[in-house]
Amino acid sequence: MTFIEVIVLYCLQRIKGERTIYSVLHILNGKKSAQTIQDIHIFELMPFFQTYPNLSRAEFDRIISALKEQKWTTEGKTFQHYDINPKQEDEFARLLIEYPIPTHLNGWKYHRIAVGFWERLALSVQVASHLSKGDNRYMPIQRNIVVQAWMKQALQNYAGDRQSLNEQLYQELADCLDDEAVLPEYLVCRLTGSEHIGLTPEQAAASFGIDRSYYELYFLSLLHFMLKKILSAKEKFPFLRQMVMDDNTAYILTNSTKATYEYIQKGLSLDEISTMRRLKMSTIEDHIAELVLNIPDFSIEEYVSPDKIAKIKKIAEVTASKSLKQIKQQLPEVSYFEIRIVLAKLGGGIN
Amino acid sequence: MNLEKNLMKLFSLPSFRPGQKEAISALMENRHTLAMLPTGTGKSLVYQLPGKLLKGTVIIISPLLSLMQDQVEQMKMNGEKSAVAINSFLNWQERNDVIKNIRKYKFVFISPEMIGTPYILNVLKKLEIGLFVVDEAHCISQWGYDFRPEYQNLGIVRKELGNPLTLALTATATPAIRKDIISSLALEFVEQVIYSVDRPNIALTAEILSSGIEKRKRLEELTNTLQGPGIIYFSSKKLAEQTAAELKQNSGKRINAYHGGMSQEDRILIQQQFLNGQLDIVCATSAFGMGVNKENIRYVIHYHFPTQVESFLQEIGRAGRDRQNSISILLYVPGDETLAYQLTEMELPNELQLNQLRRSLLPYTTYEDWAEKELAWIMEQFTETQWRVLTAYVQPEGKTCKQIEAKLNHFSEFCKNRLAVKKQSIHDMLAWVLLKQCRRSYLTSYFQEKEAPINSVCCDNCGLNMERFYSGQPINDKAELVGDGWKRQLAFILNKRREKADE
Repeated sequence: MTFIEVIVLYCLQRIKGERTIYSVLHILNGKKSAQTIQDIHIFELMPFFQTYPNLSRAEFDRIISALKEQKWTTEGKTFQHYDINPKQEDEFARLLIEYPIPTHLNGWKYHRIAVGFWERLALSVQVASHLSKGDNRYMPIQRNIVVQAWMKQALQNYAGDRQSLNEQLYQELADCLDDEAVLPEYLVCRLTGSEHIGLTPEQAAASFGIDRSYYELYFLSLLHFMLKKILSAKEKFPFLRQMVMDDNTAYILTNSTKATYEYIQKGLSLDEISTMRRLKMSTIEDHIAELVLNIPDFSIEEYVSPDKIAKIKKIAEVTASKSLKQIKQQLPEVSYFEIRIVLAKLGGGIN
Repeated sequence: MNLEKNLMKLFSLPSFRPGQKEAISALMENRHTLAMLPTGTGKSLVYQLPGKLLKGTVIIISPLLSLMQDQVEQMKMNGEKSAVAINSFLNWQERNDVIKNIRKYKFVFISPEMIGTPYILNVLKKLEIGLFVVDEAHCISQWGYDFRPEYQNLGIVRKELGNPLTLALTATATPAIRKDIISSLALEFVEQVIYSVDRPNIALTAEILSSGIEKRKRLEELTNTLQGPGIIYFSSKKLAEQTAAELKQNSGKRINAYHGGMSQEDRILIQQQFLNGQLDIVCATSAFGMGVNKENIRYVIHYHFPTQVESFLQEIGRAGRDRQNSISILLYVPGDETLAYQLTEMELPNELQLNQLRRSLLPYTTYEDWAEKELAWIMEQFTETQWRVLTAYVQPEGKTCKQIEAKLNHFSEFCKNRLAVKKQSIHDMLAWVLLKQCRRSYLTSYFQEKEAPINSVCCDNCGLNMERFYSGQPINDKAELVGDGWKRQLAFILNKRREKADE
């Protein structure tokens, strides 16, 4: 069993056949749709958001059929619904002990900054290594011009002696990574210096003799671990701190939702926003669902009557179901939008 | 003007390589220039040096995005900070930033699609253009092996920009193609600087094997005995990857695949590992090589059948840039060319596909009406390359369906001609493989050059002792990650000063 199969099975186990298998693909890809964002909250799959952004549908289908063949799953209400095979739950629990999901993984919290952080880190290490030798003729391993522009700025702002930036970077990285809970060598082997070019993820996985999908997830969790540590003790990591992208918004929102939010704060109605932004009403409704999920004190009372909220809550609790369709069947008078935002407000709170 | 002095001052180089000075002198005398210089002879210097001496912006048209990035990075590495690439790698915001500040840049690399857009063209029109460079200029010729429809508009673009001083660069072009380049760009009074395609330090051989299994065996033998570093070229990504994995396991050498399907980050790492001596062999598709300025590549093996003499020459030209003896080995099994023919036929749409498109147009009057209903499924009937070529040729936007149909008829003629040209190219390549006479002479006469000088290490048909390329010695094992434990490794990567406690 490859590690990505373990992850997919884990996700299927959490969603209990209440969503199609592709909702799992959307989570791993990090699809920024209201539905997916809602799902990770309801089913507590936040750590896995955007952990495999390049996983293709074809590859995902192969994983699903492999799981089926090995009898890990049973078919649900349609051919697109699968749940973990009840007979295998104990075996799977044992497997998760053998191949633990990296503790520090937190895709939802860090997905927007993790890749940028890595690009800046990789380039900084290369630049610092060359600068220490007084060498400025080399090919940067990061081609993204935004990252290169950041590097230039960071060097200009650097108060110390550029030739000894390497010493500071070493100290900060050593402090940051020195922790029994992680394997820093998984990150170090990827770094490029003046004498050595870093490994690709595939080469790294091969050199540690582990499955590639496991390596990739572990590497990502290592970045998340670093981000958490850096952001919680900023003064200890002055240079690493700069590699963390500024996130002006306190909440993680998609750009379009941000725009809608600004209109709402100005007191516009959903209809007015839809007209002004020339977006379909359903899109604006998606934005509202996203806002409810991300802003703890976002009020839904303006969009659903208290009476309906109570009804939806009750049905959701009684049936312990998070399927919109099932609730709608029992409450024909409420709209899907109303059910969605009420469920979003309830969040992962009911299980 | 003393060009050598400027070469020293601006590039810290003591002397020119063959052809560079002639081309640069012509440009400095304000003459349009067509320069054919073999790969590995520093073509980019031919526009960089005049670019620095002439007033105004240098525009460089380059067909491959990855090549463009490489060139910009290499110029930056060599201290030229005012170089930029405008292509689809940039997002809308980045592109706007570059265009807003366009006057700050001396060297502007741009893709042919991009320069054809009215918006960009209007921006460029307001600039003073010192030099207009068309890299890989053979792409402009319909008779060339690597024709790109996007290149066809460059003649008009040049005119719109007010006929700036122009440099057309290519590594390989027959006299007919050179003529085509000149007329397509509407250049008058052109100085031609032509250097021989012959690379005397590269020995040429082709081995004919009886089966695929034999070929695979022979490849393993060669990689085990040849002195490296080396490149092995494959026609498919999958085969490159598989073979790299197998060879690595069986030989213990440091081998990795490289192809366009890998992420940009991975491709850069593999390329740099190879340059840095951390890899012995790269199993690659044709995506590998452009911008790989590694001096000491000792051999290039072709495991697939190249579709034209020109690209074959470019690929083997990556060996022996240090002018030391190197070898090119082509492995051939009778019938290998069939795949080449098939691939070629698939590159362009066939009549069946075109008729399907024609029929779908009938009920509509304008492109827009048609596109709304039919575009999606019609596109699926073509491969990505086919559709790109078709739309670049027909340019259907804004046309009526009648006009499109007329264009399609021209296009189908065009496809037939292209196919004939490509089949001829494969045929010429096959003739070279099966040749019983001197392989070097064939190549020079293909480009209608005078006979190559007598060469003691020429080709298998002139008698070649392969043993001089064998070596029992492993390559110097540079750049292993030094140190036990991650802290020591991190210290090594960052060149950390040693402290007493570490020793």
